[in-house]
Amino acid sequence: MTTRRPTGRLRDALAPVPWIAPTIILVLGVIAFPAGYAVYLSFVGVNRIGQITGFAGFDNYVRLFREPMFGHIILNTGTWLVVVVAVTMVCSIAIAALLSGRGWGRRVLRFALIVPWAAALVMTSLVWRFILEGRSGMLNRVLNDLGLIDGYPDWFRDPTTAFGAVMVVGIITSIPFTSFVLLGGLMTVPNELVEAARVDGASSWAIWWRVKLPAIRSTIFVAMVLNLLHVFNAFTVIWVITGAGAGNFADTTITWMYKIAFVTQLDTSEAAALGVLNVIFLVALILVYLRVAQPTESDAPSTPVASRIRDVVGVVDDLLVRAGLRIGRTLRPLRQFIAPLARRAAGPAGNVVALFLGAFFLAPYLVMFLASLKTTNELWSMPATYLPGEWRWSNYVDVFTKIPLADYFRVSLTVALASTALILLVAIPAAYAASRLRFRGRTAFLGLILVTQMFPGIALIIGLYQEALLLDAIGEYWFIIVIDTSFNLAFAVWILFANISAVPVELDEAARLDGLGRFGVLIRVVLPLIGGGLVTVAIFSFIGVWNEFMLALTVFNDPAQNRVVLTVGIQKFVGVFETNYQYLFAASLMAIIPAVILFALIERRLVGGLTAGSLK
Amino acid sequence: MKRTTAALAGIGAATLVLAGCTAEPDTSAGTAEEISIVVAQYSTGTEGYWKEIIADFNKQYPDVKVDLQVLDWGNLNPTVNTLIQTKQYPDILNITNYQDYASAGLLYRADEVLSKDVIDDLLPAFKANGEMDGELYGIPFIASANVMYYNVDLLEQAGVEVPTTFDELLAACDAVKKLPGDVATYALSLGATGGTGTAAAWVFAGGGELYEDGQWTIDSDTNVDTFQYLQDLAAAGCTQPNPGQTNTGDGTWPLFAQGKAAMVYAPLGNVPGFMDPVRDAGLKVEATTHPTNNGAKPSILGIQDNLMAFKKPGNQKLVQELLGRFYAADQYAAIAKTEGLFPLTQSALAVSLADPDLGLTQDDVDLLNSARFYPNQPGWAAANARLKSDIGLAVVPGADVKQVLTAIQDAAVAG
Repeated sequence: MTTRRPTGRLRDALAPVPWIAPTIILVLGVIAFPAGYAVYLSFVGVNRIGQITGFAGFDNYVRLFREPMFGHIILNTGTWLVVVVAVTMVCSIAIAALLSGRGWGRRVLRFALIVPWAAALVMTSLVWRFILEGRSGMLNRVLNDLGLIDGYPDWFRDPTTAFGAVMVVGIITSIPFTSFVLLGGLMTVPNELVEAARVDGASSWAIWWRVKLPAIRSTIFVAMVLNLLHVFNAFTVIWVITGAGAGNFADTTITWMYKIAFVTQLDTSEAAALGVLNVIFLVALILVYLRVAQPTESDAPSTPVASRIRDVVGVVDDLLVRAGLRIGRTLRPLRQFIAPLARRAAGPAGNVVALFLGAFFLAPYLVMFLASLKTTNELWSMPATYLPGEWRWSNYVDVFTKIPLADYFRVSLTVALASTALILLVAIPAAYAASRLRFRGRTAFLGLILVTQMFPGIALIIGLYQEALLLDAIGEYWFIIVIDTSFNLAFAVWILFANISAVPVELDEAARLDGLGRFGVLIRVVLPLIGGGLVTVAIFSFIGVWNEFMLALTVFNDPAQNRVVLTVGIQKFVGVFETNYQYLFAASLMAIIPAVILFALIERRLVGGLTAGSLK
Repeated sequence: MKRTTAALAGIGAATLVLAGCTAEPDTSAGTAEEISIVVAQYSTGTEGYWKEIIADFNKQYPDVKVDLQVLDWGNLNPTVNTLIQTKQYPDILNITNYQDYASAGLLYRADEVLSKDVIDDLLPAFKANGEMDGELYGIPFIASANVMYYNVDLLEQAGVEVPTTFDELLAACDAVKKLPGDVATYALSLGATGGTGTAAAWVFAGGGELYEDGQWTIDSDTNVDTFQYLQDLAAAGCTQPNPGQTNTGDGTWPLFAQGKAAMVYAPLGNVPGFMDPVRDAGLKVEATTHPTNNGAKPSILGIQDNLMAFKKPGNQKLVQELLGRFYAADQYAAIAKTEGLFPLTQSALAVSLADPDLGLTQDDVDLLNSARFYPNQPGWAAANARLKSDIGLAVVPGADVKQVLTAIQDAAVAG
């Protein structure tokens, strides 16, 4: 330590530094540089092969606005955002309500929701593309067998249904996470409240509508905003399913950005301009988010801008609540029909519904499993076959000889474990400081790390590569670990922050009176009390890194030294002239299983860990 | 501008200045310690033969580290772009377009990295296709000769001959449509991966050109007629639904292999992705040229991918050694066999002809030599990107064909 101890105000001001410095360094070091580079690119000319040709002012922006498809894409993006978020929220609330009951059917549903959540999005998207095929797709086979349709619509190829098809997949892949967040909220509604309402003679409909829903209002809002960000930056689902089709029928700004840079216009600077506009839009969303998600009132003095934003949010908030009430009133006549249904849903019928939903969410992975055992010809048989004609178990052996799958597993495991450890190491002190130390700029700190979640990865790739070059870190383990850590840090800090805030401060104070330092309090008192949150963050980080694709492809892809992660490695089955679905799926399933087992182990704690503290 | 000027400028400015001109790197001095090869993934066999070549190379140069990246086509362009922008040029690159890199002064001329024997051994038609301003930069890597395959039994059942004109194809459609099982007469692939090839094959079949007499002619009246014909063909139910969104590998080829399409665009030879399922299904198929219009001469479409070598200090000799190993007749023929495509030297082609597994005939070789190509023009890279993404829009029911083609034409003219 230093010889001269800072005193008074200065000491107070410096107190949080050791706690939050690692987080800030990682976030700024890894994300600010490429983000800045993207801004720079948007103001220079870049030729087709990627060379920078000089300063270009606002030319790139002008060119972007003049694109004939600009309006269409903005409209698509708005539709995508509103429809996917709204439908996801409504479905997730219903599922959360169902899950909060008891019974074996619910346990099945909970497990079923874990699988798509734990699976890499690129794998889930691939299997959906396979399911949605026209003549050889499983969906059409099922619909025809049930007599629901007659014929084989080309769901994702037909320009009239393509966007709808990806929206449905977008919704299905967003529901699991959202349901769990909402379930966490529902679990915290005190039983006494519900009992009291029941004693007062309220129907279960009224209890649901008047007691439970208002009680989880803040959870709903948090879930919604998280969804908004996730959905806005969604690339994989749209790209995998409709990326190879002509035109922009299903593009949002994110997939369009990729096409501008690397497919159609071959113009990275115009794409960078679009990326910058995206981030500006998202920063506006963050400001709202901060106001909404901040569980305790900010200690920072309120600036005019902040208070104005707060006013706007307040108005929107009121509008939403009023709209909700109005919808409730309109729907009231329906309740005599719904109430019995709801009562039944609480009983055995609820189990059946849950079981049915569970089967629905597991179905894609069953299709994946069965397809992994088929021959190439059977994969494309028209119509699709349910069971393999000949069970090719050898596919699972062959896949290891076709690619060095065992090596990919080892590399992915190394990167994921190391990143998870680093994330916990860095995030715990930061979250503790944000929760317990009342320092200036605390809100800004929480906001800053949230900003890291806002950048679409695609916009950062070239900058990251540039940074890796400067550090001579291409293909180095430490670099990919640091990057993965930084990109997953925000979520970890926020969840831990919520968990630590839920621990009564009195416990800290008591321990400090007993002579423990802050660090001792954190280790001996706080950490044991937030086990659920820690496990949640650890598993989340692990899964996030395990499933990451784009960053690893760019800065950590060196087959000569066997440095290839699993998600990148299995892309080898996507050749120019063929896609070996059976091997792709066999490898994907083997990658999903460890993730699912991990999730299943902590599922109970997960629900608590996700939302603890965010809704006192 | 010379290096000294750049050195005087600030770091930020240097980036901008240097990009506009090209400093000539000293390629003869010393020996590079690392060689990087960036190639496209054709099949799961691609990585294997490159590793063989590298292993053999390392016997002679044990101290040179060779870094091999095999990328699927979807990731190839973004990755290469990133490499170029950050000035991490690969030593050897396998990609279609070489003109942009050559005009930026980044590439070796072929004679600087390839022996005269190999250059003279290259098939003339393909060699010409790799030349810019009379110099060879794009070294012919491998080629496909794209034709029309037909299902012999299906046409027999429908009682029609192989159509040789646009009108005959429409007539054949009437007969094929009557077959049970919802059979597409011609499986048309104009989606964003591989749509360019299908589109070009039809342009030539329709008697049109993409580039003629120093002018881009993508939106010529002839070509508008051709794509209007294809749109009508789709509307009449003679193709599978949504041809504009359908690709080959996961679209028209499985359809054909399942016996649900009578004709399809595919590469001649033994490309595993096309041929294996067809053989497994026991289909009797034959190859021919596409039906033509306006008296066009029947032709096949040659699509050639190129290798190119980047100028970097001390890498010339090493690149030479690697390429020499690649083009050794036996090695090269084996590579082509792995991918089911054609080697592009006389000597390797002779090896392939002698290989009984391939069933290659002199007729195939003659066909190959008569192939037509994409325009070898600087604007083609831009046109190709736009064509790939948008040509499918021309066959959407009711689409304005002229408008779609003009957008592609504009991209070509703008370059």
